[in-house]
Amino acid sequence: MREHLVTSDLIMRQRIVAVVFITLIILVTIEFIRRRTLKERYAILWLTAGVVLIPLVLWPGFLLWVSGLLGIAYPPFTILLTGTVFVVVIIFHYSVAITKSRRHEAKLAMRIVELEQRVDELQRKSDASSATEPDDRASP
Amino acid sequence: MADEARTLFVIPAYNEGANIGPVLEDLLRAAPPAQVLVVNDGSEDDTLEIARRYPVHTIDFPFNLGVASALHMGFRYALERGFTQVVQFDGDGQHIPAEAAKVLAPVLAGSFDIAVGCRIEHPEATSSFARQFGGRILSLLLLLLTGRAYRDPTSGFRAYSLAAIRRFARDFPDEYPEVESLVLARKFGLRVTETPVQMRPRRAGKSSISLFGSVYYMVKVCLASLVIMLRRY
Repeated sequence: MREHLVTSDLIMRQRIVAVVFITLIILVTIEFIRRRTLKERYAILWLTAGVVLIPLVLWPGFLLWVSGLLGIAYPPFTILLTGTVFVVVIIFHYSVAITKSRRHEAKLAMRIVELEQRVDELQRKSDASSATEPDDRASP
Repeated sequence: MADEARTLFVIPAYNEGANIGPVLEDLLRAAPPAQVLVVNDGSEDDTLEIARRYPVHTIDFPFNLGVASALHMGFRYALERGFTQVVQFDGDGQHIPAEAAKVLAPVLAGSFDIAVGCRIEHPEATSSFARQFGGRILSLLLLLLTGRAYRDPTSGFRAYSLAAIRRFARDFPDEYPEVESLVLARKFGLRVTETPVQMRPRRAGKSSISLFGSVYYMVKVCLASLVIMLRRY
């Protein structure tokens, strides 16, 4: 019964669709890194997802083995589950990255404000000294 | 001699409060004293305060950006201030100032754009199996992508010519720069050599790379190096 589920013609078509889709994700990810639209740091999880999913889709024996290990009766669900786990991990990874980015943003804003204040102070000092300069010259 | 005066030592420093003082004292003791730029990479300790006690240039990042960004900043700083050579130098005491002349020599002579100081004693002799294995993979990657065998590709004791400074001021890796910059150098047509030097073991603190970190390091470096080959610069 389970053998039948992963080898029938319908499943074969699903597999082709899945392989094309995963390959596309991998290629698009690499192209985006090449164009510097995506940093390696944020691309690695996408690529890992692709590399893990491809053998699951292409190799029915492996899919059956993993499904058995996880106690999953309907093997295609294993592929879906693996994909979902990666999506959850990727989203969590982004939440952490956004938090860090937000903290850096705040630090940058504070640093800019401090620099602005220093520039203002220096400006005022130089204005004050240039305002007194003509007087200095006038009085011998 | 005139050219040596236009050499900037760039020290990326993250939480090196325990080490940076002696390192700077060592560097400034040389005659003529070295021109040094300490890039404080968002340290949580007193690295910056200690560095500012010495007659050195300092840059203070508002938060930790990593060695790569610290070096990138160093190249930009050097270019803007008219330095014609940069020596990349560790803030943890591993590198010996007296050895800098050896690393600088090929660059000052104009025969190479990058000179990598490699440990005289075998770098693998004292390291763990995982480290050796990682080192092998990186050497193989470099052999594949640059066509040459590097003895110590992760060494951070390096000298750069003006051509290399100019190029790297524009494009430099954003993380873990050592191996990737050698692939970039090949891509940019920069001439690279390795120079044997003495190094010391680290004085205080421990290496910042964890197990997860080292797996990420390997994957990132391999991926980034391969993508460099696909890019046009």
